[in-house]
Amino acid sequence: VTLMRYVAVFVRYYFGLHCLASGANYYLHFSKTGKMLDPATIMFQQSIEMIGIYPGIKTLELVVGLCLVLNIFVPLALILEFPVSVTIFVLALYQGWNIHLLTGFKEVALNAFLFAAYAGYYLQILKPRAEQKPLWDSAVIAKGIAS
Amino acid sequence: MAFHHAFTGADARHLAPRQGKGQMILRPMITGLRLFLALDLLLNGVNFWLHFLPITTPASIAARELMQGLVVSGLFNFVKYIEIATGLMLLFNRYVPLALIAMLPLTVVIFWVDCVLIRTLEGFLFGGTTAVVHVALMFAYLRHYRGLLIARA
Repeated sequence: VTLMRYVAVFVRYYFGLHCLASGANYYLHFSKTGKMLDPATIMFQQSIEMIGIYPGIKTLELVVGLCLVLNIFVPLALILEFPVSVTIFVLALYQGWNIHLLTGFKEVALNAFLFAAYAGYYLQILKPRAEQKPLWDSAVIAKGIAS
Repeated sequence: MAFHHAFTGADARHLAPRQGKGQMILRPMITGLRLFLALDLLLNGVNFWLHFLPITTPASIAARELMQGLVVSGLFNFVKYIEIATGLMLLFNRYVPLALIAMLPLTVVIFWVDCVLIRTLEGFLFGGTTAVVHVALMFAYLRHYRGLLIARA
């Protein structure tokens, strides 16, 4: 258990720094990004850049990276990063057997491992039959205080 | 111990204010919103394959580019699977908080495309309504997201 705890801390830092670097590189251009090979993925990347979502995604990566490195709002940061990880993975599948596929797989695997490490925080979302628990329901709040 | 639990239970019931008129209206309203979003997602998802609703080409070039990029890269299929899965989850009231989280990135993109890029009345109606209903539902289930909002986990 203690070993896994250290592994999770290491993965959190690793994934956090990776997201931070990926987000910061978009603005600072300190390293070359790997060239996409598949025309479909190039087209997709160009289209999200054109509609203005790409800078938003890179900013999100920056914020997620900071959260993971500073160990604040980690469960939320992992949820926010997951769609980005899945998209990277799906696009990497089209690139064939090369470094992109490894990057894509690594992205999803690290995110999934951290999900598992913080699983307890997601139990409330994973309830099959979730009752409405609105903020404005004072009865629910009173119940919560009593329990 | 049993006495303690019985006492706290009774105490909680005693402390909890009775459900007011506002709650009686809000609860069915939230259920209505859930079913609305469920049908919206399901129809849009299934329509990709069955074409029972007309699919209009967006007026905005950027929106068209995105659509083409999504279709060519194969991500559009993936988006539609998520729409159908979350639509079913919302319809059958199963894993609703999870469905709302899973659908959130897509709602953000739908809102962006419809209300920022396309900017037609139809776009505002569709994208705006989807986003508003989604956010309202997330607020209705907000207490399920408490675990996610812990700063020091």
